[in-house]
Amino acid sequence: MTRSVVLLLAGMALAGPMAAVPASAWEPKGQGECIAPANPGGGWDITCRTISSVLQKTGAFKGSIYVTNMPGGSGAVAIANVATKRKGDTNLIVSASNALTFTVALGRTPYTFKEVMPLAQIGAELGGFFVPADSKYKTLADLIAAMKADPKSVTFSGGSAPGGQDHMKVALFAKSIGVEPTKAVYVPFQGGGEALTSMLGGHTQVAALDISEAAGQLEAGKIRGLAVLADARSSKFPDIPTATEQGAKVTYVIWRGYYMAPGVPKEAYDWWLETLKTAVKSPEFAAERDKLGWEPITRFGDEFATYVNNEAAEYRVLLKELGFLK
Amino acid sequence: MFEHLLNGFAVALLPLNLLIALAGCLVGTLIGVLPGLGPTATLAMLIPLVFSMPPATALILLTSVYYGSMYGGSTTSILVNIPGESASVITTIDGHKMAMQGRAGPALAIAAIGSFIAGTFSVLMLTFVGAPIARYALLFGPAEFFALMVFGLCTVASLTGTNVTKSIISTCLGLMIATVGIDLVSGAARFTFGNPFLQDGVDFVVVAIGMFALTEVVITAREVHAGTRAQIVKAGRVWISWSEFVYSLPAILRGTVFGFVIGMLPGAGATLSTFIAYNLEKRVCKNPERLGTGDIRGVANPESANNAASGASLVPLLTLGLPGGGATAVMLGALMMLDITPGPLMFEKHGAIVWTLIASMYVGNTLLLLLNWPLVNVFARVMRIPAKYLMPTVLVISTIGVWSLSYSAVDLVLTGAAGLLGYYMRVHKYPVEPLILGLILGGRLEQAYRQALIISKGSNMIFFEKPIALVLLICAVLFLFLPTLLKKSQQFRAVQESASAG
Repeated sequence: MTRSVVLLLAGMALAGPMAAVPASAWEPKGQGECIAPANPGGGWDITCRTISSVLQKTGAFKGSIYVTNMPGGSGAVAIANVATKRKGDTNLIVSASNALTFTVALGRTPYTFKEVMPLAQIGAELGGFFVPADSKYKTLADLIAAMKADPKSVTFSGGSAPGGQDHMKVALFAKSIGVEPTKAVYVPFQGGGEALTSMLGGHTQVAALDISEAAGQLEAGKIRGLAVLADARSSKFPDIPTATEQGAKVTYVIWRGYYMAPGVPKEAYDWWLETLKTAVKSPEFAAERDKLGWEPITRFGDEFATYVNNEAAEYRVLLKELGFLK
Repeated sequence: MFEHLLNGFAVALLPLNLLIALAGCLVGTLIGVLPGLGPTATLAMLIPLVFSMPPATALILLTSVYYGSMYGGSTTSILVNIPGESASVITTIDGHKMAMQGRAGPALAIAAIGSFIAGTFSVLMLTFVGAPIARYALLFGPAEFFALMVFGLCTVASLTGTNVTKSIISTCLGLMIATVGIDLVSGAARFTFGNPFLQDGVDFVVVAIGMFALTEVVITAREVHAGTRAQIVKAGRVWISWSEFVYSLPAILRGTVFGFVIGMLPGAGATLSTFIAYNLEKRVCKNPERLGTGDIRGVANPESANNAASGASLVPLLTLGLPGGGATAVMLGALMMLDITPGPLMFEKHGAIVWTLIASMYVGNTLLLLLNWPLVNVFARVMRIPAKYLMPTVLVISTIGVWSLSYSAVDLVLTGAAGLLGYYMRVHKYPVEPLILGLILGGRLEQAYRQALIISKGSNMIFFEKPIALVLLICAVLFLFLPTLLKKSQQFRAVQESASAG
């Protein structure tokens, strides 16, 4: 079924741009599409389904918005498809997050954020460090002291490959306290759940995760949050201090947002921009955001495009330092 | 607790929920039958539906589909020698031979009965001792996992019992294919040739369809053409006899226990449990030489193991909030979307829903058995379809199955290549099952090994310092060499006896 939807929408994409629409009152015609560059159930899929349901519930989008799953190469397959085959598609948005920045920064796709049109960030998740409730590290200060004495004495686990999201948290942390980032011991697992299990089982000592991944264990008091890697504390777990408060200037925020295909007319791009700006203020969206444990941190249009392009450049520098890029 | 469970039943037995469970079992079974879509992919496809249902109903749908697809996988294994999902690979060995001998009905029936017994056993365990035993899953870190998987691979070496060297070669090929894709530890792309579709590795389905479906079709075509195709024996009884049930009961019980113990470990999953259970069965049962020739226990054992394992993987998920494998990770995502934070407090904060879910598992298992009673009859008739109609159909459905994975032509090319390799292997009597297990475990095996080495700062001693890992590795070595040693010592004794007698 998904396939027929893709065909249908690809057909519409060809027919779409030729219709001359008055610039002032541009409205999308027909059905919309959100490409999730991953399988259903993951973060990118949720990002698509959330906005699809909110835009339809609030009536901001008149037709229905289909979600197409296009997994492969951590977003590489989707960005290649959109940049080459979907040029000027006014009804298409693609979900994205920092994970795509990694794909771009590591050069796993020939395309970057400059070949597509970054649209908006509708929310964010905060990174953090977590330990078992009975850990000898009571505060981040304990961890900093241990790291400074012997960086190899602390074992971190995370849910992404080295050079990915969770490793980056550890590397940035090490760097901020004057420890050589390559000296930090990072054990990669497949997903936050496994990283958490390993930490709870005592096989690794500190888990570098997103707060939403740790929420269940935090509520049960099985684990303790040592630090939130953000400028401000989490709205859901305000008891966990930020790293900055504890003397380590490190932030790691996972944005969730969308990009559009290249060559989309300005009026269509602006329509999506305004629509999303309104949508994130709606109570319908707030309810979904709370469910997912996202923070209300948003960026739109040019501000967002500059942000992601800078981010890709920053990651490239750090990845070079860590030896993942030459 | 009984009060909670009864309340759970009260909700699970509501007409709507019962209907959903029935539909879920049916859909799951049918999807499990189709090669290509496994339980994880099926669950993932249903995730969007979750948004439009009450939480309890949504979870009932997901679990019933999960159970159904786990069961349905055995059907194609038995009928056309193509595993519907990875946990049913072992079932092809005896199951398809049974079908060729006109016993497709009993094979399908015992799969249903074994699944029911195993499924119910895991739910009982979840109900009464879930939380305490789930903690055992935490004992398994990377070192222990590595040892467990080495053990699994070693048991496979003696799987088909014909030629150990050929089994080992086949396993190694599987391990080699598993290295394609992005290396989890260094992040480097390996053997991808710059193709983004290869970055995620080679999917089990792609290889399995090539090795099982394509080769089956080609071999059947050749046999039909040459007039050498063995006549399928006309089907006898459709359901099984009491004596057949009694004969396979020990195999079911052993499969259930092994499936449960291994399935509960995060990441190990149902597939590994079927391989280990089948091989242990071969060691402990009476008349082990019959296994592999179309013995009903060879279906009963792995099918019980995979259903026990799929039930068991829900234990750490529901009691500790920790996902056990592919399908449970999808379920974890579904829980979060339903605003249920998976974690140790789930029973306290969302008790009603969790107990409804548990009650619905009892209901789902029973429904699955009732549903399959008539279905066995229908499916067994597939064997009467002449090969010239059946095989092209199989080819079309399999190809669609591969295409549906990621709509990538690369997958189709790989399936073709796997088909060629599989054909060569079948003709030259290399078992293909070890290759499949090698492919499934390869990535995890390598990952666990390297995780353990990162933890130990590069020292291999970690595998000898951890007691669980050490015991498993010793067992692995024993499994590999003991049969040969025993045979040698028997021969030695025989020689001695004949010498002393003479």
